[in-house]
Amino acid sequence: MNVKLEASEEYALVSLDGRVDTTNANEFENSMLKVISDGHTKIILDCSGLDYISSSGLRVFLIVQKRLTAAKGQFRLCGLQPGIVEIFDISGFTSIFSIFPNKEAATKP
Amino acid sequence: METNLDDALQSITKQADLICHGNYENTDEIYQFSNPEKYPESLVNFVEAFGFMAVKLEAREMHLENTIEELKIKNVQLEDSITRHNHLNFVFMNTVVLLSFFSFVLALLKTQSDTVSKIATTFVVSRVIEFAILASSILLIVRSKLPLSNFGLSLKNWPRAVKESLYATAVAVFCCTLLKVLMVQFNLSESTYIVRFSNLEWSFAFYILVAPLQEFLGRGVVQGTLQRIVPGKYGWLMAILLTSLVFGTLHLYISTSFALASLVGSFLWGWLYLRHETIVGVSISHFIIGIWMGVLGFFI
Repeated sequence: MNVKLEASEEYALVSLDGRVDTTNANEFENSMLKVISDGHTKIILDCSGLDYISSSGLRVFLIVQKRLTAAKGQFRLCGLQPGIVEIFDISGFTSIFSIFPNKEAATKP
Repeated sequence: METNLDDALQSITKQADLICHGNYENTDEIYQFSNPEKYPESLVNFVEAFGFMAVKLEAREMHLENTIEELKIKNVQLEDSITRHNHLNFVFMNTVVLLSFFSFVLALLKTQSDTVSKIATTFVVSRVIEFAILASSILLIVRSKLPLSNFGLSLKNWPRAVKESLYATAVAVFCCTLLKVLMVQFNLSESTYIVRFSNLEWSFAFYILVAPLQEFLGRGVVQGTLQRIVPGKYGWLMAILLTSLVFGTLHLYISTSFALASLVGSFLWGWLYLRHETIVGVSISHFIIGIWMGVLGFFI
């Protein structure tokens, strides 16, 4: 798993690559919570490089969403691969997350 | 391995119990058993399936919470809409009662031959209606729980409102005077004078109360309510037009030309009210223009 941050004045763009499972879900959670604690309230998570996500990884998405909702922020996801979209559909995530087809669409105000 | 299985089952049972009570805080504890490097595949799959179920449940709960929040917002909007609707009902009913009552009174007055008696009766009836509507307007304001400023009872920016009203009034007074001069010049007026201050009889003394009262009812209650409830980009224009039509119609009992003059005056006061949303400026303007119309003889 690889997490990369590109911060601008308007939003923080986080790129997530590889697999998120039990072994690295904590690392992913810490990375995301640090972005929030650094003061970013609008986060765009680019998942175009995400190959697999386990339930522990999905839970991190929920935690981030809760934190940002409490901070009246925004959490946008983009570039989800078909396999990840299917997991999101089954878990009901598509009804609680703002999902965009690509970065360009997600960065629009 | 058996100990691990026991630990895993105990942990999952504990988390299942917590989840049943709506507590998802420590769900992470079970994921330690989904490490394929440490635990057998069957346990890993079981924990993953349980974890997925827990996540799905949490997501569903979050979705429900979001939906409840959205419904709460919609409920507030709905209550606001009902309040606006009630205001519209009030304004509509009062307008119908006012116009109907006025029409009946005027029809009855036609049977009276004495002009002085007609004027006196009309004056008294007008004041009675105004005070009746004032009483129901006060009831509306109290029941609506809206601030008084929503009905024009505000001193906010009053110096600027008064200044603008005086400028507009000066232009209106000049135009009315010019009209009277032209009417006298071309024999279009029954009177031969331009101004006559003796026209200001006892009833004009009440004008210092009547003008602010009419502005409160016309601009503050009727136009203010219509401004809030008429939708669209030009809702404000519709509010001024509708208020002015009612205002003009209510002056038809004096004369058609006076009603037309009232209609034009109402456009002016409606526009001034729209700018500052206080009845201070428009009441002064209404008083001055009304008195001047009397001096010019347009009331007679």
